[in-house]
Amino acid sequence: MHRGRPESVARLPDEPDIEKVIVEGSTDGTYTPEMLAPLADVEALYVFNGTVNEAVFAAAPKLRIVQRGGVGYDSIDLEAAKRHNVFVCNNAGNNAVKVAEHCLMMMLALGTHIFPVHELTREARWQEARAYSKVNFELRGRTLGIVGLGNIGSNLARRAKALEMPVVYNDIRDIDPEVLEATGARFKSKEELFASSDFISINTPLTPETRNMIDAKALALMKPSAFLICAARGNIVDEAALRQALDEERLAGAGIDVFSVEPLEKDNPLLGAKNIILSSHLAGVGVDTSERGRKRAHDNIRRCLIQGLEPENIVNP
Amino acid sequence: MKVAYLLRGKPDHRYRIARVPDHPPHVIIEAPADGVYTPAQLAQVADVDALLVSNGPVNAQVLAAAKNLKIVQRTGAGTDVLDLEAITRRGVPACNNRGTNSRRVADFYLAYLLNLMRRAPWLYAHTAALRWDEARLAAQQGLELEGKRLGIVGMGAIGFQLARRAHACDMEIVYHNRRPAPSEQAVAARRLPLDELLGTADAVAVCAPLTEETRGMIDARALALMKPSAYLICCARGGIVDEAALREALEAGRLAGAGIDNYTHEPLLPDNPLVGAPNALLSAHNASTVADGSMRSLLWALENVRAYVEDGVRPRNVLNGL
Repeated sequence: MHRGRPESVARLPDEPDIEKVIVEGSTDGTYTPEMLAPLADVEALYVFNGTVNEAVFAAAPKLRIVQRGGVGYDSIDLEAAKRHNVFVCNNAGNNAVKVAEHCLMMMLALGTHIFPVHELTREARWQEARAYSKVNFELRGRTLGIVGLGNIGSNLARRAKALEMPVVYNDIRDIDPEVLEATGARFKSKEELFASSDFISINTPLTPETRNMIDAKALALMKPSAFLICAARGNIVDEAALRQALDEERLAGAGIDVFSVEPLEKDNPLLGAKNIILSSHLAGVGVDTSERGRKRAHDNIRRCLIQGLEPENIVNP
Repeated sequence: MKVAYLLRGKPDHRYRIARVPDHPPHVIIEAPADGVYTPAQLAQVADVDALLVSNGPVNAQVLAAAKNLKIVQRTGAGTDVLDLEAITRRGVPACNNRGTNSRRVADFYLAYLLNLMRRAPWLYAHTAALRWDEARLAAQQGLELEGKRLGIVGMGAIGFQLARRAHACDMEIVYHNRRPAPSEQAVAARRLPLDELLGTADAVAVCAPLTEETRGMIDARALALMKPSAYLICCARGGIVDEAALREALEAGRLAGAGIDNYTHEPLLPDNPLVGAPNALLSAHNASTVADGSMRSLLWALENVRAYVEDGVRPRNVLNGL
């Protein structure tokens, strides 16, 4: 299932033992009978993107597994899946390094100002480019605050440690002591994390608890010299509030990969904001990650349908 | 104690000098482009105990005029602006600031490495123009750092700090150095002949000082050895990389991209071949200069000088054995 991702579908290799049908997904949850008709015989649903709700389950009586190609599953109705006895699985961990690298990449770009410096240097505006030295700071000793110390967050923490940045984190779960040992990450309440961090990275899933977590109130706690990174999900960060904070220079900059509405639309308040770097929900995208993810996803489907085993990475036990 | 600063076109250095608390008496000399100091400038150094050198040349002329000179101290790490032979003949120690900027320069290399290998300039440009699908397609061409080979040319303080960072990103590290680096095991780095490094690396980081051996080392021949999918990053002195050859390689698509911070002539002039080069990220000698760290470096240099001149403490980072 996909919505607006013909290139992803076209790249799917043929699986000799799995017959494929392509289903057009809906992002607002509404499905017409035409859209649902191909689901009649489907036993496994591989989801690039698109909403998987009661309508979809009702139209797919033979469905046994919904397998996300990626990691997030906020677009899948887990209750409906349970009612229909369907496993919902994701590809947890598959993109962890890639997304962690993307967050680090944005942190470094913002902290060193390489892009505004480049715009000036390429025109030989030397003194203006050098003026950025006054606002660049050493990263060593600057605190990175990670909200969500999961697969992605812990990979990011490990890399930050090599930059000699102290790491603080917030998470609703208990974190494996080995991860804490390896990263040196220290727990803080969200409020303490926002107030004390120089870089803040959001690496949580989108849940009712994390929706709008980064609102005007949270932004007001942050240092004016701090940078915010979000490569998690749209709707965790309040876009209008972030725009305002940047306009008023109550935040030094932001790197955002995910948006309330995707693809990014021209009325998004983040477009044209000061000191912002934007990318198109691609932190986890790359030929290596995609191939690996596809293989893992299809192997998991085989595990369930052909080998008759319980699949891995079930998110609705 | 009185000191003289020798610099050329560095308003940010003047900015920091002006903010040193309780600065001892000092003069700031703006070095002429041709390196020949005026009589008025030479008169200003007559009574100084120390020359603090940003990028103004320390040559026989200024050394002779500084009759009270006890020490020559670079505020930074590079030594190519010092005539070490002349300073040694003058009988005073020449010192640099080796090592104090290595982490922040390594961070800058890492910023270029990540943003280039993952094709960030294209991702950001497409996204800002609302070309969502093009951005995602460009991301497909980006490389994860993990598992890729980074070739470090010059495994000194900066090269090592870069290796540490790249190692934490699970990159494979190979390096070229005059001698095996004692730190190689700590970052699982293998020493390779230069040509093999150039031929196999996914990214090459030039971290060497500018010397007679390294001048022009990354020339057309060296660039031709590199993979067309590879990236070149150089925040080391201009003159190591042949700028015209790099421009040509980028235009012909024989290199995927480059990140450059220093140039043969600074300030960068509009006729430098790298101005307007495709797939290049350019900065203005920014890698080593940050608000807090650079101030610390300046204070370190001043203290090194003060301790020697006023307390007779042997200075650190002496380059010429005096």
